[in-house]
Amino acid sequence: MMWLALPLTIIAFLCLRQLHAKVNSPLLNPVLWTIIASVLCLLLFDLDLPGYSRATSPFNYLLELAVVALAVPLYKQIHQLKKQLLLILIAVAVGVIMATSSAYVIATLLDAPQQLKASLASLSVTTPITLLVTEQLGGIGSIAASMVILIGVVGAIVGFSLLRLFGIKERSAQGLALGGACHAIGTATAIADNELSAAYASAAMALSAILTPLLVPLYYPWLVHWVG
Amino acid sequence: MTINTAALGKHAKTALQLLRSWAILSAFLVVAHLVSDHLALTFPAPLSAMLALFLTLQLGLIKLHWLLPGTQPLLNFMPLFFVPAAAKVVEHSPLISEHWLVLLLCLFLVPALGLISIGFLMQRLRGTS
Repeated sequence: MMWLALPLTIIAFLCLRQLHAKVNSPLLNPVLWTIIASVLCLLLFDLDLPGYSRATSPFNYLLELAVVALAVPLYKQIHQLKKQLLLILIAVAVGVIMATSSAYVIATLLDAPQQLKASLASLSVTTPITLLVTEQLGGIGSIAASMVILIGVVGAIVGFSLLRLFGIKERSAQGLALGGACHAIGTATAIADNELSAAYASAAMALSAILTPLLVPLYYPWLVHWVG
Repeated sequence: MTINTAALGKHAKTALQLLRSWAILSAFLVVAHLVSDHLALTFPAPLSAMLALFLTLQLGLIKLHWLLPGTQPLLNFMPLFFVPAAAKVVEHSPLISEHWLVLLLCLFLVPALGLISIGFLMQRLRGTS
């Protein structure tokens, strides 16, 4: 029975992706709904999690390989945006620090346990990176991954409106914000809107994938020490 | 027969290009894991491998066209690969139901603050540069 987990996940994802391509709404995000379907199956059929992990373990290797492959879009984007690289680096680094700080402060104010705080420390980065960084900080990867995907969906729905509301009307700044704060799903929204925003969003997503594992493991212990 | 041979040759070439690309990525990953284990580094090995690959691309030691046949499908299907990792969230349902407000606030405030800070800073920095 458990051997079906892998092919069923692939089939569900491909079907939902087809549906998403037709309807094109961030609410129908195929990853989000494949995760929801997987969670429902695990609960309804009372499947054992270690068995599920073993059955889907080939994905772990492919995910690690895909993280290495992220070097390619990074290489392509850096080449394109070399002139403004410093500005983009500063803006994305501030975004990463802001995301970590705000999540940590909210969690501390509401008395969350340390493991949950660590799970929320790297939310402004693409999911495979958040899984690695969260594990490094002692958090729960699955909570971080689910939150990152949901944050992407929220950003896709309200991102452009929120940016305009706060007077951020330059397309480059809008794209950078969407890619930096809402990673892949935000980048997809920028790609659907205009080319300039798309280029900046892709660059921001790639740079946050590099900056987050460099900055957050250094900044997080400092937050724990000073905020508690 | 000639057409079939040509088509077969094309498929074989595509498969070899894909294998070469995945072999390069796997080599970087394996070396990064070995170095990481040997030196007991806390920095995730796949990220070290990504940075090393990026540097070798920048230095021209590895050509972009060697990688593209394998990286395109990997990146295209990357969201699928983290579905099981995220689905394991069911393990932590008591923690989630106890701290749902923290998660809900983070869900809206973290992206909002991130969007505003990055967008505002970029607009200001571009204006002054």
